[in-house]
Parts: sequence; C-alpha cells; structure tokens
Amino acid sequence: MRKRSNFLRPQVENNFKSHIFKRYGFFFECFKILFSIAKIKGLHHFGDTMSDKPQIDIDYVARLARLELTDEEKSTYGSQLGSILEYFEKLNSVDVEGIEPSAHPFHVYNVWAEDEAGDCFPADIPSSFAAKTKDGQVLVPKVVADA
Amino acid sequence: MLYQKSATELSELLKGKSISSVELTQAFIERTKQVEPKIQAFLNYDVEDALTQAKKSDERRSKGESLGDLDGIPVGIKDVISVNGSSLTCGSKILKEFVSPYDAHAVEQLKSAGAVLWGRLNMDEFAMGSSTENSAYKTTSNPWNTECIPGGSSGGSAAAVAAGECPLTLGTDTGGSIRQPASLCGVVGLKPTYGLVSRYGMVAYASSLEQIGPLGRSVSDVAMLLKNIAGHDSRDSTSYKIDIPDYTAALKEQKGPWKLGIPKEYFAEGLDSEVADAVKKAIDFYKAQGCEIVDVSLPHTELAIPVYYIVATAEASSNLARYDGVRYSYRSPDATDVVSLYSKSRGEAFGEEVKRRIILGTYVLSSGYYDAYYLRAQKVRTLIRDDFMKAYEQVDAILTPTSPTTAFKLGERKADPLSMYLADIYTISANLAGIPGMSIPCGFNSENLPVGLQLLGKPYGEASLMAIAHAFEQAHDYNKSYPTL
Repeated sequence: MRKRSNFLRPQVENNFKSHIFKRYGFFFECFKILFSIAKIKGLHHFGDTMSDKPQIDIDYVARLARLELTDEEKSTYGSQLGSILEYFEKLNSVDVEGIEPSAHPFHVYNVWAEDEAGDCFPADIPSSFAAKTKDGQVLVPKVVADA
Repeated sequence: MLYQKSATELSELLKGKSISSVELTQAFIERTKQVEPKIQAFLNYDVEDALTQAKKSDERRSKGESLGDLDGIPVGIKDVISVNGSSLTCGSKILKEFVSPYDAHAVEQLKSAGAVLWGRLNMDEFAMGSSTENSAYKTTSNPWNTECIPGGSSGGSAAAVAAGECPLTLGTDTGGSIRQPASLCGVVGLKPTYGLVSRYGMVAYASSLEQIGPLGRSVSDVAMLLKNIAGHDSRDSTSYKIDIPDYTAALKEQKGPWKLGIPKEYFAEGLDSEVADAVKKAIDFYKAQGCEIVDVSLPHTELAIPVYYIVATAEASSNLARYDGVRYSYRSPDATDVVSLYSKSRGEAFGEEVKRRIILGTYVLSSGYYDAYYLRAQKVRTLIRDDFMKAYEQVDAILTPTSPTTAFKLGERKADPLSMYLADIYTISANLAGIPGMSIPCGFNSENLPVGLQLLGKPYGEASLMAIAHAFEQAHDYNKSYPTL
C-alpha cells in the first residue's frame, strides 16, 4: 500500500471530520491516536507485513524531489534509509513538550538593507552558464500543452 | 625546506625580505608537482596565475606598499568557494562546466590582503561526506598513509597543508568538515562561530550550519588567516556585526589559567583507546599548567547525529533544488518534457551520497512526517544548544577528541552510510549550537596516524579558544613532524 496522496491528507481529514465526526467521532479519535503512534514509530505501511525497519516510499519521495533513480538505487537507498530512520528513533527518547524549535543557532530576525540601486550582472552572464541557450535566452522544453 | 615552514614563519621571512613571494610560491609549486600524484588534493591549479600574483606581491613589497601579513602567501581554496573567472565544481558533475562570475566575500578579503590564490581543492560532492570519497573527480589520500582517507568534506584542504603543498587553505564546516580532516591529517583547523565569516559566494548545502574557516600548520597560522576573512558583510543576512579582535595578538596576551570542561558523553563507547589516551594526555598537560579541569555534561550529545542528519538533509533538499538542468551546466540529453528534464538531469549528474541526502531531506520535510522528524529535530537542536550554554556558565572552553578514530582505510565505510555518519559524532554539535570549534594535533597512534584534540568555545570567543590551543602547541611539537612522501 503506497501513500501516494500523502500531501492531501489534511484536507481529507477535515472533510472526514465535518461529515462523519458526530457519528463515528470516538472511533475516529482512536484511529488518529493509533496512527500517530505508528507514524512516530516509523511504521508507515499499514497492510504491509510490519517489518522492524521503517520504510520510505522511495518512488513517492523521489518524485517529490524531482530525482530519477534506477531500480538498483531505489533498492539500495530503501534499505539504507530504513536503517538511518531506525537510528533517528532515538529522538523519541526525549520530551520536547514546550521547547521552542531552533531554525538557526542564534535568533535571527529580519534584516533590512537600504533600498539602493546597485550593479547587477549583465544578461549574458547568467545565460552563459545555462545548459542550453538561443539568442541570449535560456531554452527549455515546452511547458504548456497544445490546445 | 621552505614548504615545511608555517605561514607565520613565511610571513616573517617575506617581511625581512630574505625571500620573495615568487621564490616561496615556486617552492610550493614544485612540492605540489612532486607529491600530487600520490595525494590528489587539488582539482586544478594554475602555475602561471599563481606566479603572476606572487610577482605583484613582490612589486608591492619593494615599493613599501605591502598589504599585511598575508601578502604573498599562497592560500588554497576548497572548490565550494567562488573565485571570479575560475571553475567551481563543488566536487560534482552537475557543475562540471560552471565558471563563477564573482568572488566570495572571503576571497575578496584574501585578494585585498594580497594572498596568492593557489589551486582549487578536492572535496566530497557539495560538502556531503566525511572522507572526500564522494568527489565526482578524484580520491584524495591521507599524506600520513596514502591507503587511508584524509577525512572530509574538506579533505583536499587538510591533505594539501599536511603534505606541504600549500601553507594555508580555506575549508567549509557544516558538521565537522574542517575539524575532522584537520584531525586526521595532523593539521590545525578552525570552524568559526556561525555568522563570523560571510557565506556570500560559498555554495550552500545546509545554510543554518555552515561556515567558511581556515586550515594551517599552526594555531598562529589559522589566527592570521581568520583575521583576514572574518567580519560583517551585508550580502549575508546572517553575518554578525562585531569588531574583529586581533587574534594574533590575543595568542600572546591571553595566558590563562583557564577553566576547561570535559564532557563525559564524549569519552563513552565507540572512542578508540589510543585516541582517548592522547586526548587524556592533553588534558593532563592543561592541568599541569594550572588550569582547572571541570566535569561537565552535555546530555543530548547522542541525539546530535539524528538532529544533524535531519536538519542538514532537509536544508540540502531545498538548497540543491536549484540544480534543475536549466540554469547550470549539466542537462540530460534524454529529457522529453520539463519534469523529466529536472528528474533525469538531477538523477544522472548527482552522486550517490547527494541523492541519498536529497531523498532523506525530502522525506523528513514531506507532509505527514514534518512534525515527527523535522520539527522534533529543531526542538532537540534547542536542547543541544542549551546544554552548551549551561556548560559555558562554568567553563571557558570544552576539550574533546575531534574524531572517535584516526583515519580509516579508503573504501572501508563507503557502503555503510550510517557508520560514516557516526564519524561526525564529536563535531556536529558545534554546528547545531553555532559555537566555534577547532582541532589541533595532540599525538600519533601506534600506526603513526595523527590524533586531534577538539576545543569548543563560547560564541564569538575565537580569540581565547585559539589562545588555549596555542598554549598546548607551544609545549609540543606534533605540528612540526612531516609525513614521508
């Protein structure tokens, strides 16, 4: 069972809540708690034989990352990343309730600069290191479908 | 031999006019030509260009217009830092043809100090690795044993100094990438406090963790180079506004005794016994000098590895999205539409470790897993930083081993990424906490491989950190031994 529609889940959850919650609210909450426990434990594949190692849906993640992988790479990464995620479960040993997350080592606030015009690169510089160009423009495959 | 002298000694010789910059640059060129077939530290170098720079330096000096202590000294640059008009590969095939159109801030500073830029140094692709084996171009060897890794990701920067190919180099440190190779190659390396050196012109891997920093043969060499590259730059919004102290003067002025912390978590399972012995001897030295040795605890140390590999890969997956087959040199010839253009170009040109980290980073940021991994890691990052800040209420600096082992054999850990990640256990906390750290040679094991002592300091406390390191170096001669090549 692959979790292809992962990024749609919040929306699905909301619809689910608003329409069915009254009738099945209790069971729904139970399911949610079970699901979040399973998620933290890394058991992402309900229906699969539950192996000890967490597994990544490599096809789904590679598509998100816009990264084409060979079958061999998929199988190697799948197993290696499983071990790495298993190691990451150490993080669950600590209570983070009420701890502020740090995106940076020190608190970073917005930094303002004077709005002054400065020099910039002439157009031929960025196009000079693009993979393919024509008449000083960067060439890419057609993005818009034919009418 | 000239190539065996430290940058500080060379600077004195230049000042006294007993040698010229052309002579000493020539000495390093000859040495490089001699040992490079064994070491492979450089991705490329330009002899003519280096000699032209040296000649200009000599002209300035003869007119009495010397630009300072770095004028005329060769400095090697890790190939992740931009030099205008020079190739910038980051050890990756995806940037094979790329030529940088501008100078990094650190490189501008070096040029205005009159340094002779000497060569581009090998590294793990996009600075991802601990052995320099992830370079798409070549494998660098450890000068102390050419069957061993030099450490990474700044393996070229450390090996070039150790082999006498260059007196000073710039590296970058995201999780230990300056300190670990410095330790394994027996040289001095420093990761500055986050924000001390501008990241402008350094190719980004994990922006909230990385810093450019110096490597050299002695603490005073590193102080001299750091003084020249540190300072505020408005083009890096995380660059810190601070007056840069005279680090060289601080080495003489600050004499201790200091209060030094020993974290028990760094002397636990997994630490090689010969490394532990050398580090303990260093601690005994400080004690004998009258320093107070204090047991401190950094209880979240063990969690630093998962936190680092979540935060760093998440940032990498975002930073490396720019390599899309459109804007930079490599594009897959088989692309049919825009999505396959991205996917195929990236799949074909990125190396194994980079792809592994992009997949991991994308996964920990993906919907449904963000809270369990990324957000949780950011919270534990706060705890790791708090551990250090609490320890610094008691002590001036913390002493640890730099790496749990000495240099391991080439190929030994390549197939097992987790064992490679564990090589960073003592260095990554400093990047998560943003504090400065350095590695200095503190001994050799029974196989004559160097052991490094790591010193961790307070934010922006580089001056006292280097003074503490200098005190050890003055009483020992580990940095005066040379590998036989």
